[in-house]
Amino acid sequence: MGLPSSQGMVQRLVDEHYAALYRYAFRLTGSASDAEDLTQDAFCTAQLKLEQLRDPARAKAWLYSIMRNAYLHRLRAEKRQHVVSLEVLADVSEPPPDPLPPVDAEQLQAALNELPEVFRTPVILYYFEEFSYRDIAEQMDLPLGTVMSRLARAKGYLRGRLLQPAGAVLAHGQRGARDGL
Amino acid sequence: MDCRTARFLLDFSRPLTKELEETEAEALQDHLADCSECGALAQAERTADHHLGQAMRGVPVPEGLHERLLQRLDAERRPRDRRRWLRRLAGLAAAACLVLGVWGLVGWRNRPARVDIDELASTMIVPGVSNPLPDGVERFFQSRGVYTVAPTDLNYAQLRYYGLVQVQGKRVPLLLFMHEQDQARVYILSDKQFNLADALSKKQNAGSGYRYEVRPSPKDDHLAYLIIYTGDSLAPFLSGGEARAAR
Repeated sequence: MGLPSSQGMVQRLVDEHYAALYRYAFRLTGSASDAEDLTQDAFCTAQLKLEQLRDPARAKAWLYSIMRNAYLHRLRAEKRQHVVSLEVLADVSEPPPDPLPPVDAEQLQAALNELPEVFRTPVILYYFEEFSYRDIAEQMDLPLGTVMSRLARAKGYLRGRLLQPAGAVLAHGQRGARDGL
Repeated sequence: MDCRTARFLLDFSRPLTKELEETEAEALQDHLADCSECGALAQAERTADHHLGQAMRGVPVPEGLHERLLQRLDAERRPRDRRRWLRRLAGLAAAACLVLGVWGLVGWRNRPARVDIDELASTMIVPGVSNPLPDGVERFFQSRGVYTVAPTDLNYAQLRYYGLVQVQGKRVPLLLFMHEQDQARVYILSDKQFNLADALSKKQNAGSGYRYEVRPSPKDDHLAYLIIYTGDSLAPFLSGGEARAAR
């Protein structure tokens, strides 16, 4: 006997998207265990609210939206502090070096963790490549211009932290231990 | 296209996210081909993005995550399904009343049966199933003043509820069996209460969302089992040998 249609649909969503959703969760949280918890919570919510998914072609965006909402809910509960203040994030001004240095995985996650969530989410979605500017704007319920601005600043920050020679500073210099939210 | 516009549109022309109109994309490509500065910048940007993108996506997925996800989803779904099955009980109870009414049981042959779902639901007895075997079920009903013979060809490992319910104003033993998402309700009818000859003449049938069978009790000629069930056949509810025979 086959699975009932809703159960089959949920299984298809898991089969097709669980890995990408986990990676997104990992980049958001910086922790494998938190990422797994978040991924489970997101799929449980999706199973509960499956009737909201009217267009199967929008499944990925819908799941990412659920994931982000679950993550924001946790952030509010944990009152996480961020290291980087919004003011120090500059637009990309330095051209990337040639050749590009290898990216250290721990440094990448540390740099992401330092970003306020409103910058971290769009840059993660951007680098997962299948999300266009318009998709990101829709995900975050923001104007396109705001997304472009935040992406430019977040990309600049990551490149400054990860692709510039050691000791290089950002265009506006200082990092502060202030809450960026 | 000028350099400023080209550099602005660069981010919208990533390989996998084509956000530009075809004419805009062509104009941008033409400019990048003609302008060495913009061309070099575009190449450097795409290389850096590709480099960071690979690192960003390079997260190992924990082993067994897929299975753990499915297990968690299954665990979340079962209690909700169980509540949904309980809500269906009232519907099947109404169906049982309609079926018995249509058969025209003793004293009610030509009168339409009044379906009182509230009464059925309120009189449902749900004891703990501590000894779910036919003789244990029979002793339970005897302790409540009702002699009966429980069917022996059903799988009692699937028995979830048993008790006395009101059917057409009569106290009737009911056994509820569950198998995955399907259920079978067995009403034990006595010829002192219902016209069994008429009931047994309609042995098998199907309604909207349910099927039913009527079987005589092999141990007592005065009893019959009305079995209303969901699913395609009764086979999953039968114990061993009877299940094979049913196939």
